Amino acid sequence: MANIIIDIASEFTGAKAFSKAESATSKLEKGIKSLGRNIGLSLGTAAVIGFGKASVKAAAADQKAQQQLALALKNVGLGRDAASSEAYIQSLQSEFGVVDDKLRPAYQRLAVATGSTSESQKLLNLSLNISASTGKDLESVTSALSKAYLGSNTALSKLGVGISKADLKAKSFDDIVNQLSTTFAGSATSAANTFQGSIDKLGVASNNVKETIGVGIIDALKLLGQDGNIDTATTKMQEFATATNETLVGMSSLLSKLKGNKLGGAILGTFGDVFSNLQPFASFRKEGRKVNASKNAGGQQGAPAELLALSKYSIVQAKIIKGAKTLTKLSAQQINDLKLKTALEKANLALGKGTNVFDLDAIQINAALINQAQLLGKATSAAQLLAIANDVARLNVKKDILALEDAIASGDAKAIEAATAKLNEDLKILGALQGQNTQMTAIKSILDGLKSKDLINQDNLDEALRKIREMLALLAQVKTPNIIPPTGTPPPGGNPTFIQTPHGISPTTPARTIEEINSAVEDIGGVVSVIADNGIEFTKLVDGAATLFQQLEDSVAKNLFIAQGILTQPFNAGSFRTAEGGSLFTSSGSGAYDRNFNINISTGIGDPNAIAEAVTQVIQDAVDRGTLRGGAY
Amino acid sequence: MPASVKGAVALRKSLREFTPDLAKALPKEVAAALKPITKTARGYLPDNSQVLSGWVTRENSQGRFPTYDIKIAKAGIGYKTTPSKPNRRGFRSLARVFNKTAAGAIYETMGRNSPDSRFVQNQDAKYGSRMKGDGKMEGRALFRAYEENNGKARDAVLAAIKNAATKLNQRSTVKG
Repeated sequence: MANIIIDIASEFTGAKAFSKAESATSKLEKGIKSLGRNIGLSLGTAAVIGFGKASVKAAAADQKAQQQLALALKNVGLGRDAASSEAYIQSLQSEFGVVDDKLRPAYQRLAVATGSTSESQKLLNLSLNISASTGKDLESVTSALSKAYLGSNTALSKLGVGISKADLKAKSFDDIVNQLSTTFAGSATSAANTFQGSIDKLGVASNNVKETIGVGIIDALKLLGQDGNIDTATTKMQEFATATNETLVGMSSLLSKLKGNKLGGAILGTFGDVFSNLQPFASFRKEGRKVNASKNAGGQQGAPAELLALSKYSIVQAKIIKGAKTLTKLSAQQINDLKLKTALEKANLALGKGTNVFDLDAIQINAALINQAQLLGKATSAAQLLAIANDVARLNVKKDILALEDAIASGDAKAIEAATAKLNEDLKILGALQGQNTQMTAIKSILDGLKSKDLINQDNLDEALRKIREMLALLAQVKTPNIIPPTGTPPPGGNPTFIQTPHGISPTTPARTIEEINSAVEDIGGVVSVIADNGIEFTKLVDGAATLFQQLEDSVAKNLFIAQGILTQPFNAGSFRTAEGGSLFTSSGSGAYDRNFNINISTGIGDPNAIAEAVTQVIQDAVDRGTLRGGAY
Repeated sequence: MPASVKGAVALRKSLREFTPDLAKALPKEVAAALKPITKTARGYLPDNSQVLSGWVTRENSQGRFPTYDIKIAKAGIGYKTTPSKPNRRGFRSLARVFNKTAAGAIYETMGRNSPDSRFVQNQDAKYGSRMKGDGKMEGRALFRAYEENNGKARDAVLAAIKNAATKLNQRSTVKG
């Protein structure tokens, strides 16, 4: 949609595109500079100095790697082959285009694993072939081969070299190596002959040049630094680099002009020879060779001289190793003697322990006990069994002691150790049995403590029997009663109160009824109480009194008695009736309340004031009418 | 072409930071300068009865062509005094007037490229109007009003900015 906008005023602040363009330009500038440095278009003084630095660094790294390999070979007893190994590595790198920085670690790993120079070189060749064919890096291949040499084929199977797991398990290492050598034969050579291989070779040559120049620079630095003035040396280096730069540029210009000439091709073709034979360079090279020769002859710091020294050192080292082996044998013999001595000391210690526990008298006594136990047949208690076991253990200890003495006399270390072990074991058993005896004693004491003396006390029993005897003596003194024979008939000539029956002693007169007894009581003037069917006990009243009380109840006099306080409680006249059993006072008094007076009042429900007023009104009306009897209001 | 000013955005920031009263006054002065243009432009818009009947907004319209409604078209004409984001060429607008509705823009610019089209002919026949301005600044409402304003608004805006800058400088000058 087209917006209709009119800008009245605006300000230029810069667009993102401009900042992007600026940043891109600066990046491009940096990139161009970097590219220029990389492709050598800006080959100036700085580039020459940088190359010199890299050369020195490469030379130092190479020297360090050489020293590490030589040390590793020396440690595995291949020190004498250090020089030949280095030469072999150099030949490999020029032949297959593999830099020595990769070859040295690979060779070192194989040498450590195999301990043989020839085997290491053979496996390194194979590794190069496998690496060239499979594309695996040399380090992985050599690592797998070294592991396989030591018995682990896992890494080799992971390389994918066409050997099945069954073959890896079944075949020996030599068979596997032969198979691999057949499979990958010529791979490295073939790869080296390709264009890529040529480039690799050029790279190797370039590195070697760098290293060689670096070594030269290091030597030159040493020569320049002899006066101790490093500033001067660096200044001279800068000047040399500048001069080299100018010389190179000038030569390049000259060569480019020579290209147009007929003689140019021939000159260029033989440029290396011309360069080598030019008088100033020839002089420099001559001087350099002289310096190197003097350096090697003087045994200064340099790779060849050091390798020679290492070879000499390795011969000495071999002698030392031989001496060390002899020493090792002697040390082993010494260790064996020491072991024998230790065994004897242990045996003496065990003998000391056995003597402490050995008691001939005790054995004889215990042997007698065992014989006695055998005569008896079997032991009768656990304590006896324990004693027998103790004695047997002691006898075993004695046997062990004798066996150990025999072993010591024979001087056999193993027999001594075995006898000592047996003695220690029996001593342990004896100690355990003695501890068991102690435990049995403790248990016996505990059981004795648990026995109850009061329950089975003979003195108490004797005392009780004595008491019984005294009691029997006393009873014997008492006159025996005359027991009537059980005939059922009264004895003649008497009037006895009781007679003997088959069911026991019975009175001669028959028993009276309760009524007869009560009547007899009443005859002598006593009061007889009667228990009614309802469980209430009452007293019989005199005949005629009930009628009197009924009249009293019906009379006005009762109310008078109540009003005057003579009679405090109403009485039950019915309780005096003879028909009801006739009693004056009941024990519970419940019969006194069965004659109540009820007054019905018609008034409101639940209003106490109204009830009180109604009652008051009724009584007042009765008073007013004069119908209220027997009481004042 | 808009007048290019340097440092106006920084001026607004400075005003807001150091002289808030001037920061509030500046947009008001600019708005006062722009308001006559928008008012005049709204007046040039035709009423609903003065445009073609088929163009007027109606119910149940299925067409996708923007319909005309005087109320919406008038509401779409306005001004702004706040700086915009930079455009592709890196310019930030400090003050602007706009006609942002589709129907208003159609009325504004119709006939620029095809003045003999039927739609333009019929609309002009129904409501006679004049286009003023040149090229991309030619139009019937907003551009016409801006053209007839004769740069007064632009001058007023620039004067307001300059005035604010002067006042800010006066206040920030240290007097010894």
